[in-house]
Amino acid sequence: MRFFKNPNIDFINKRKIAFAISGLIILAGLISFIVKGGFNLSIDFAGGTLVQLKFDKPVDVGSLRDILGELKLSSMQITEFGSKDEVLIRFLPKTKNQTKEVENITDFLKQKIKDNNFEVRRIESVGPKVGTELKYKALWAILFSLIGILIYISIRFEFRFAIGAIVALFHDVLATLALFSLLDKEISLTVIAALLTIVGYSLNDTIVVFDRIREDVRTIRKKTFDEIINLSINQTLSRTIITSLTTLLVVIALLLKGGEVIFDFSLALFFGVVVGTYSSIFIASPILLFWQNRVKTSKKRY
Amino acid sequence: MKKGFYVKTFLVLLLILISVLYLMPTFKLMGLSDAEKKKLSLTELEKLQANSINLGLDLKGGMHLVLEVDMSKLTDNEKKDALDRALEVIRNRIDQFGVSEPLIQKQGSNRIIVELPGLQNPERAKKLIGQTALLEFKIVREGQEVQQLLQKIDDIAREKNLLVKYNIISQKELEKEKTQEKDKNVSESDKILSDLQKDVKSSDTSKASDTTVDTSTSVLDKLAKKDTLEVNHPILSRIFPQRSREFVDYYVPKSEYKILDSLFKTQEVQDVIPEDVEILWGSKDVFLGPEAKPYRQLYVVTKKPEMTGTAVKDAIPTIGQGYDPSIAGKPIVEFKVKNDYVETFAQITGSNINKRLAIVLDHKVVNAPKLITKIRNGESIITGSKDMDEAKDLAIVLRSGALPAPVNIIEERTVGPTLGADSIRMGQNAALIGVLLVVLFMLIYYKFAGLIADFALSLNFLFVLAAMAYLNSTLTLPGIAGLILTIGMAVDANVLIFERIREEIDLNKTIAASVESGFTKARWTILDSNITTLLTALVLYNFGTGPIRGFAVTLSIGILSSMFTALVVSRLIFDFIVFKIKPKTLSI
Repeated sequence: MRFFKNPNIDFINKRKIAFAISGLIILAGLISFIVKGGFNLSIDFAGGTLVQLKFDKPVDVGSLRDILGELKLSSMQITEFGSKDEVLIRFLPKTKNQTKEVENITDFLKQKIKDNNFEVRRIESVGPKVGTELKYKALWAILFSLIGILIYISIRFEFRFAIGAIVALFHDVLATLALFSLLDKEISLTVIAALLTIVGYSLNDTIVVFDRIREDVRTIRKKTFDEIINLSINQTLSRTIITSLTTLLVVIALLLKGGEVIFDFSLALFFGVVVGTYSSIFIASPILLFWQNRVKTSKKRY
Repeated sequence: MKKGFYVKTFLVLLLILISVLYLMPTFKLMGLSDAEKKKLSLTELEKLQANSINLGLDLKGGMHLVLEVDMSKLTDNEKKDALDRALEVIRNRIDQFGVSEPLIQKQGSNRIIVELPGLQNPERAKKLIGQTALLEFKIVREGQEVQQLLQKIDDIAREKNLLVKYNIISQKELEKEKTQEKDKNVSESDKILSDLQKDVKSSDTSKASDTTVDTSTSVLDKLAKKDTLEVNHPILSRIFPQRSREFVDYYVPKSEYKILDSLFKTQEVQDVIPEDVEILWGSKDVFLGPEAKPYRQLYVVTKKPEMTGTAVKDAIPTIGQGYDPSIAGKPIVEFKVKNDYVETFAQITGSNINKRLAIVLDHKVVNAPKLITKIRNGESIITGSKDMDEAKDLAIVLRSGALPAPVNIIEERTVGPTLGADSIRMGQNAALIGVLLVVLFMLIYYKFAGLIADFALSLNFLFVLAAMAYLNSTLTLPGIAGLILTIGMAVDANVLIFERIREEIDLNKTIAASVESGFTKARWTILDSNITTLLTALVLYNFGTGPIRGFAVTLSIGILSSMFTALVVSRLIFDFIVFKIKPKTLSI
């Protein structure tokens, strides 16, 4: 069985359409980011406390909100979590003693709701200072991995390849973040972990293509650089699609069956795999060509 | 056949065998139901767990805390060891949660990380950790009184079969001991017990000047060999008295100490213990005997404290001066009490000469120095520290009562056991479905070659888990995701190779040549593309804590193992087919 028998698609020629699509997504993300006043940050970065409760019977989030409203918790959010009997309560503790505040909430709920018992399934609490630290740590982590990759590719390939790869990576991270902002999904530590994984994964795809370009440049003398790029992408197309497909299969399994706790993580991976595959075909190689042409024209001037 | 084929095949088979062996404890543990686990004793379960893949806090449930020591009220000088004091206090407290593998770690200049897996009552733990240190000074009870108390507890434990009643030891284990006992001479065990009592009596009459340290001929050695006493003497058989100078110290092997501790907490035993007395444990392991096995010391003390930590003015570790050979040149702690307490201290020391004063931190005995003279000016020295570190630790404990620096919880992640269990179940389901989809896809798309890839995939799974068991690393929920993700990625290497082979076949090369150049050409691509993913996994490991680290670990091991299975194992199978079976066409 084969999906593609000797494909011959002119990817390079379609680069303008690709750039337009990518630009649009990132721009939409940027607008959403500005309008919403930043990302929807989880307590990992914003600080705060999260309590996950599982009730014996389904519970109405609206009435729960009314009941807890009496406690006047600051920036309280109550959301259903995965199923009708499970809820997430998020708030900003007023004192340093968040343990006491969580206890207040559970005691209060036990008092008010007598016919529906619940169990505390999870408590997460991050102080404001720690939140800020984690924010910087996450940014550094992303930066470090990008720098590491830039160095590795520059050594193993050439600098122009590294530029193509890095631009593609920025594109993937930005596009995924844009989608998260548009869908109003929370950015948490695990989402950042997923982003870093995407960086590695998308690069994997890009390198396979670049490897082929490098090989073809050596073996095929008669063709121009953009013809070779097109040929290489076509040659590796089956592999790119199949690997992405198998990875997507497992990510979909995670998304559907992995549970609510890692849903956002799986979602980021899902977006990332799709965007990463797309970028290694439509972004990385055209950028490589663009850089090549720019160097050539600047050389001609002399 | 190609050169090295058999050697390589043998090595791969060996690796598979080793991997399976490493995974045995994990599978055994996973196969046990909760009810079956309850039947196992603490020690059996702990041994099994130590050789299995650890489950992260997010899977088995537990608590991760980051504490910050509030030093705002301390002077610069006091700040110096405030973190150490807090650490010592917390470490001392963690013991009572009965958590099997707690982690307590300093972070930066004012933070402490505490991880308590499988914790039953997180609220209680948080309250205990957040409390200020409770330092007390209590008089140690000695002699016949202690022996009689232990005897009484032993009797009640045997009569009411408390160990089994409270599920501390299973009936099965007890019966195993019983059958062993039949073969042994019971009268001998009684003789040892009477020996023990004689020892105690003689130590009672011994004078303070008697300095013979009697360790070699102590009952400890004899009793250590007699592990069959357990049924008749559930308590005494687990306690090893050791005569040293004028006192008898009672030691309990570390493996047994939780058993006794649980036993002492039962109502029946509490009823036997006199009201003004309590049983306390030493705070640290003591290593005894030729094999330096860990023991915990058992103390019987007066319940009412003579004095508390508020009385402490200062405690400084230093090297002793002067001519007294027990002090000069040895690590000691200079211990001073506040002016208000000088009189109290004089009274305590005066009326308890030749007794031991236990320094008790949060209900654990840190040290029990002997009182030699009445101390009138509130300034004393504590000798007997083995080295400077021990003296330092003691001083830290003494000061922790005097200079309490409150700790605040600045980060908490607590996962209840049911959520953890749900996560495991969901992770397993997702993995199963993911694997099934990929396996089927590869079979359909690459036919026979797909079967090879699927075989490599299952080996990959085996290797990753075995490596995790070997490295004793922790499986977290994102870790399971990482494992699942490597399934998707693991076939990538095979896909790269297969696509190359197809291309070569399209060029009308022979099958042998196609396989050969397919592997050669794909090799560097596979290495290059995987190394960068490894690079990001490395960054992830450094960036993340707990769950994310687990993800980085499974991802890294998965990548390495997938390269191995594709480049070595798949290759061997292809070589076998090409050179042995010599097919005319390749099903790929």
